[in-house]
Amino acid sequence: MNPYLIGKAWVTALGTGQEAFQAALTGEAGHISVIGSHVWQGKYECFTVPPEAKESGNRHPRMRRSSPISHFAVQAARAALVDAGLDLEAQKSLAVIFAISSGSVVYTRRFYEQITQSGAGQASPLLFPETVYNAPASHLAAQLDAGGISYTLVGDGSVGVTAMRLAADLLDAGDADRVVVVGSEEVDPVLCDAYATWRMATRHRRGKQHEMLLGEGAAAVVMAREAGTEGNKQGPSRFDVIDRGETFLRQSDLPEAADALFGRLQTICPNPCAMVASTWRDPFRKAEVGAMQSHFGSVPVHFPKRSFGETLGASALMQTVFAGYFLEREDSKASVVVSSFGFNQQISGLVLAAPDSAEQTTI
Amino acid sequence: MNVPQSPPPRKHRVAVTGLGIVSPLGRGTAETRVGLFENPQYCGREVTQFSVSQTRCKSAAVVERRLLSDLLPISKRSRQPHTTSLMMAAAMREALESAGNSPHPELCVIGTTSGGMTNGESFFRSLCEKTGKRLRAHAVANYMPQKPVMDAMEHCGLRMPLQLVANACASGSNAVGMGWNLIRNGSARCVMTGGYDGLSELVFVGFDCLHAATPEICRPFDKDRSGLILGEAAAVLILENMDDAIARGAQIYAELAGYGITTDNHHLTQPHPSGCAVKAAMQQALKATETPPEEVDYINAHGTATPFNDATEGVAISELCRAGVGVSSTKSMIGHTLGAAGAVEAIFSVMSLSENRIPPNLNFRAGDPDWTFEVVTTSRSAPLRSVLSNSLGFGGTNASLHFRKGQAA
Repeated sequence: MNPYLIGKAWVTALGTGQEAFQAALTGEAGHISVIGSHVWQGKYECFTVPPEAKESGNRHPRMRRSSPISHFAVQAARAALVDAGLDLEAQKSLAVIFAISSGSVVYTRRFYEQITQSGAGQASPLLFPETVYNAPASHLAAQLDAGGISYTLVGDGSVGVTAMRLAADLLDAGDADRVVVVGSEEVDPVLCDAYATWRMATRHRRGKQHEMLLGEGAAAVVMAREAGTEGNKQGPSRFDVIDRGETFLRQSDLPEAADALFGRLQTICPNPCAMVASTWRDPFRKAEVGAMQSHFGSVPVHFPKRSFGETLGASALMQTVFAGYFLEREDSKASVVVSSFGFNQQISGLVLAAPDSAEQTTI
Repeated sequence: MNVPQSPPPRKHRVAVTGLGIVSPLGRGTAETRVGLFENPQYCGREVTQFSVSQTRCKSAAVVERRLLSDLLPISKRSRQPHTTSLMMAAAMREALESAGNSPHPELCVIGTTSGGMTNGESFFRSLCEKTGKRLRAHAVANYMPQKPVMDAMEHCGLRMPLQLVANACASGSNAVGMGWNLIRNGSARCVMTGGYDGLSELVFVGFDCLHAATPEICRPFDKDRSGLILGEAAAVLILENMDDAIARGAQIYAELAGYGITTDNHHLTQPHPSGCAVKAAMQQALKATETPPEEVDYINAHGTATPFNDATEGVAISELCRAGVGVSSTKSMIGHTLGAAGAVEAIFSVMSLSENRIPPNLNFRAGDPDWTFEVVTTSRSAPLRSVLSNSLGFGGTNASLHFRKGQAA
């Protein structure tokens, strides 16, 4: 059973919806901000969601004190459900899966700042609950009154694919009819400095060719077993495979892992019309692009992260939404390979196909 | 578009064929058995890893570091592994050995709430104090939650896809449940599952500032309970297709018969007082085998000793299960091990079944008169057919695992 992508939405440094896709397709750079810490005087550039793209007016009590990661996630998820033609008031049985990498780092940093600067006795109980990884998922489930399955997966950039894989398993087993999968991330000076420590991100200067900028935002997809039945909008895309991924323990193992991953994807989709890659920094870029070329030759490759930054846990979902928009403008028999290479030793990928393409295999 | 209905997939039975654990009770199932049944003790001690001068709660239950020293060096790559890496390596190694080192798990699903949080703390302090620049890279590399699991996999010579679940205090149960789903639905034949968490200052202060942690001792289900103490642990279970386990003559420690998962949308940190979501999770766990609730002989409760949790869980158990069913919270011994709790308590439930013994709920004097279950205060023998293990977490996550004796088809 190959699940369908029946709804999608995103909140990015390029904005939302189709406009953000068009901008990413042409390589336009998203909104960049300089953020800084008053505690250690560090300054960092990162891609941020522009004010006009943020949803205003969500007055649900749960959102009152929640961190940007929750706001982005809820905005994207609700928009994806609307895109799928679903009633937001009738989602009690909807399964909710989140893909997170750093989580609510803003609140975590603020809480620990209180501990270290003012003492444990001054730490605010209003901040701590928002630091848990599954707080965004909880806020979304509460707003939808979804009382069933809810999982928050945490990992590196490939965690979004893992989350979609989990959704596919639930659908295939009949444990859920529809699943909303959300990837969300927020930026914070401590996160930027952590990546700068490993020379993977830049400290307050324009990104060099092989340095990246972190980004914030969220993307959501609604997956279903069937498309076009009651309650589901006719879905334009189908997941022909969502790979379980590879782990590599040393960087020297990465090319072999990449080769194994793309070999499996090629078996399902020997002639994609395009690929959506995830990396923009060596050695990951070299391994990913090298394996792509080895297996798929000169198929065009898109690097949307150049437009909205490295959004970690949200990145694979953003790449998938990009692929979904891409397929809407292509031949109805086309398919796209999405690969996701994480910095913490995990890689994965999926194939998204237009509805009239020949169904390759059960997922 | 009409899509032909495909037949529902066949459901497979799931065997528990490997167990590995490190907790404040000790390292390994043998030491754990002694601590659980023969010499149960409250493991809370004054915290020494960080200052508790400004907190109400002063104690936690930690793993003795000397128990893990033989694992060093954990691998060629990891010269200064985090305690959580050592705990995971010990638990993973024992689980694999107890499963007869066969078969090779296809996938690893692990629960955690805070990963390598102490590394994040070190990094932040280093930034603020402008010291320890050289250590920052190490702290960053070891902060990510998957790192301890990757270190353990490398130590054990394994390489497989990894899923990390962070559903707050239900993470461990959810991870075991996800493994159950994969095998039950035929997506995998053998899955490694479990959970881990280490003590950290941020989380300790977090529970303290919420007044969820107690300045006294932990008294689950007691009417004068005043909160939890934190603990640390790592636990790993090997789950296998029952037919495969029987065919290869594996030791079957128990059958993982069912799993329930629900979400309580009442509040971010408090469960609905009616206990409806917890009750629904337990019902779901029993439904897979159509086991009547009356056949549940023991419940390893979430039992954190917070006023709200125990009240809610008490209502749910009283409504669902037979009067007089035995209930205990092993958090009364080892504290709340957060992301590890569900997996640790799964192992305790399996051990209870195989020993036909119920571990005690320490520090209990009297409970709510409306509850109908029995809080078991001293370890005792009892014929056990079915055991439920509950976990409830922040964000309204509820999970329940149903174990029954390992039996042939």
